[in-house]
Amino acid sequence: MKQLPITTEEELERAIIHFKEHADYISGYQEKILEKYLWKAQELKNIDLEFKIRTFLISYYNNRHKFDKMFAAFPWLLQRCDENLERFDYKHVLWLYRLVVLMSKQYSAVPKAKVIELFDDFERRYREMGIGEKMISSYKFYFYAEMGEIEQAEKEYTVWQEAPYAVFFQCKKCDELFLDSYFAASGRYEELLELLQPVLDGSITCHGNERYGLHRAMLSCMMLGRWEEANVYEVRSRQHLDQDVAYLYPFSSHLLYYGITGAFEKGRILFEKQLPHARETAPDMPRLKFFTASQEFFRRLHQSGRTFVQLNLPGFTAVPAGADGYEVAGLMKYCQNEMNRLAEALDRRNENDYFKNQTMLLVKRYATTEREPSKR
Amino acid sequence: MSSNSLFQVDLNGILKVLSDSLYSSYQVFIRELLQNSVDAINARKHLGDAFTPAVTVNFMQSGDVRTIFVEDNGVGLTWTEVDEFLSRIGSSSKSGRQDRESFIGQFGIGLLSCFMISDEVIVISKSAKKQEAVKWIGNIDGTYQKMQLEEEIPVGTSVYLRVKDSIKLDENLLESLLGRYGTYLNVPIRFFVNDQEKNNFQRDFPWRVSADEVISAGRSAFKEEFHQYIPLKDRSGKTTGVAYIIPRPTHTVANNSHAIYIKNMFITDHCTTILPEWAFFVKAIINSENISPTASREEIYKNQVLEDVREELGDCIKQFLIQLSETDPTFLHHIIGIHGTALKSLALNDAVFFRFISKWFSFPTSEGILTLEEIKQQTKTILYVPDLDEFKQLLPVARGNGQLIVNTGYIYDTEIFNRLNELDKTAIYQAIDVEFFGNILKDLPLEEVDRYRERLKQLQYHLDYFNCELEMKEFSPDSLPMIFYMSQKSLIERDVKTIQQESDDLWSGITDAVFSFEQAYHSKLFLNRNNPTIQKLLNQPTSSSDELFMETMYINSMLLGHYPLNKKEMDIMNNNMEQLLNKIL
Repeated sequence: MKQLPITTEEELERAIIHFKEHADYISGYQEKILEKYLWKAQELKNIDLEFKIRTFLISYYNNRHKFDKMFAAFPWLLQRCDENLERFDYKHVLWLYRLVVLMSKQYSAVPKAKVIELFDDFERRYREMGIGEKMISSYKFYFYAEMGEIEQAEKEYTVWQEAPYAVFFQCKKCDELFLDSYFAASGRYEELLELLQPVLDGSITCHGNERYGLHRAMLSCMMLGRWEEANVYEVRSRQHLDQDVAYLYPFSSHLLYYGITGAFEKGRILFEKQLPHARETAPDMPRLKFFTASQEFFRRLHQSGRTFVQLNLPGFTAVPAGADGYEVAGLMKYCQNEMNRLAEALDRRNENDYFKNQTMLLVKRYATTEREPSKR
Repeated sequence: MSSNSLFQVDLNGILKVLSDSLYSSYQVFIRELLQNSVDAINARKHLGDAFTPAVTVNFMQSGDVRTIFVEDNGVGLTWTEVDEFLSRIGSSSKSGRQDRESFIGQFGIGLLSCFMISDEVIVISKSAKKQEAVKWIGNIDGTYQKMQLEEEIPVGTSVYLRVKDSIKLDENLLESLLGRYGTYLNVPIRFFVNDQEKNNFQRDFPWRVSADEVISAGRSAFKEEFHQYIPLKDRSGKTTGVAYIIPRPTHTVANNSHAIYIKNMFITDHCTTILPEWAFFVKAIINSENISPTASREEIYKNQVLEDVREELGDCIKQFLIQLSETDPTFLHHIIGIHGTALKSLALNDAVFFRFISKWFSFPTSEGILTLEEIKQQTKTILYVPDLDEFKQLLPVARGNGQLIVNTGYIYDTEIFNRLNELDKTAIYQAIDVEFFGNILKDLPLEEVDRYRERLKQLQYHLDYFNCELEMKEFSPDSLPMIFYMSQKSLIERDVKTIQQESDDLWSGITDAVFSFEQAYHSKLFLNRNNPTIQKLLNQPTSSSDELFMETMYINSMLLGHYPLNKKEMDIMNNNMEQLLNKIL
């Protein structure tokens, strides 16, 4: 997109329309342009244009997994709506709010009281808007499941099943797929594959379901020893992912696949690309998942006889690097430490030991999974 | 119990489908008839008959009654072929033949289009294969009659249509349709009005005639003042044509329409898929023997053959430009001047083309518009500024200090320079911003720094409130007191801070937990030691007006750089303005 000199409100409005028609929300170059438009709207003191640009930005930050920016920018939208409900698109803001609620609990630095307060505010607003029980219930389920309150989550699932469809926002096609991350986390792989069937057969392609569903199908197949299917889903999943974006959840499954199948070169490149995200702004839950898979990857690399590995990681000094590269055992230890630290931090915040137990279980499960020799 | 039955076809329903969904206009009937005539003539040629091919179209008007006669001396139809090919929808005399490639039509639905303009279609035909003449009358209600003719008629087929009252069709429109569909068919088409010859159509494609003819055909087809064209030919030689270079700048998202002929028959002048997307600086006329039309014959079929043809025609355009650099570099400059954006887009998608063309590209620089080659003659360390506003800010300083900088704020230019950085090892390409540039400006001698250290500290104190860092440099022109810099990252952090301050405890706490502020200072002010006002400021003792001076300078820099002011900055600006006005009074 051309960087247009913008001096008037009309020019800015035209530029926003042009952006909306031509931008893709995945390309990194768009961020700079959108942020420039934001400064221009502020300079022109046009709050309506600023509102539009900020809603684009939130979607953009979400798609690029820049959740820290998403969190920081969101309250502005909510405040403007609270000041004048008629003037701004409150419904759209509530749609974006669910992204914020989903991600907030994934940071251990957000205290439990704040997570609860945020969810209460979200629930209140959804109820006031009449959005409906089913929608709220699915987010409540997520809330309990990701806070490690499994019994409560199971109860909420019953509420969800009985609740009528929501008035807004409900995608009847992929609605039930919200259970996929829970099934994956709790090792219910058969159920997960059944749930994901519409994604696997191509009848559901909406709402990023391929990006987040295919890697889970691959993981399930690996854990169930269905390697032929796992191989297919690995290739299909990769087509929906960009290694320059912090897709830590999906890439964790891929890293594990590369470790178990001995595709160490692919895994090395992937680790190199994703580690900077895992060390910087990504939420703790996907980071935990990433380090759990990474420690297993390096364990297997070490087991294969490799002592050192070359990695291009500027600024990474947690493991010393020599002329031969990084020591594989050192990297494994680093990933294990990070994994344990993150699990503990999340448990401390949640006041339970869910992540510690779940991580131990996964470490054991990953270590004992082998590719069938005949399929090699 | 089982039985075999035939589908019952409602002709009226079929016609509605054809007119509503398949054909864009009733006017296509003439194309279908011409196509049948040309195919019939080709079929007769295949028999080895010696004859002079001819098609005549006669428009008869008597009062309100309008009749059209289309006659050819092609292969004709036998008594049994009439049943098979005229009375059976979807059956074509050409679809099963081994030599089908030489025919335009293949679907067996063309004659039906005549029912869009006439309730009755009369066909009289004599086959070259059998000495029998037959008359066939098709009716809009789906019935037809067939009879043998006793009288002697020449080999060929005649179609008679009485035009419905509701159809707007006069001799002029028919003549123009014949021109559109019939000009390049390689068969002479004579047009009569009430038996008087009015026009005839038979021409070869312009690229087979002369350069003048090509230019003239392009100007007439696209209503543009073309001066230059590129010959096009795919590897098989089955697709040929010309691409005209549009003599004015085109937008990168422009989707140019090209005129397409398949086997000499006009298909569409709105084709957007025959050339690659990057070729938005040309308009083409193309005739193809290997790409296929859709059933409506108003578009081309998207398949692998089309993909290959598109790529190969794209190669012709690239090769033309490469040759031009040797044979007529002035003209290449001219083309790049008009279509630089398109060519940059193309270069970024094609490494070979990039290596050849990049040196010809022009960029705005602090020394005016220069080609890459000219830039490299001036400096081997090329500093480029990816941001338009920052380039504008740096321009006077760069000029004053004799430093060449390149503005790459326009589309593709930053990507071009990033790519050059990877590929061209004969120069250093460095992306810069104001801060980078400020830091390569001349530092003050150490004793000067020491002399002003305390004074600078006092001045810095008044900027701490804005999170702005002060630094002293020496640069030209002397008239410029300072350069101001605020990075994108700083602006984001400033914005987040403002939102956080306006938020309640819940949101403020969440931002604290999730967002990490990294910038020690949000902005930077490089003071110019050579500027008389700055010298005055540095040499005077601390005073109550320091605050007003520094704040005003900061706010002014923000405004000049088009940075948004927050509320506290706005308040300070208003307050300072009032103070200044009071001082004047």
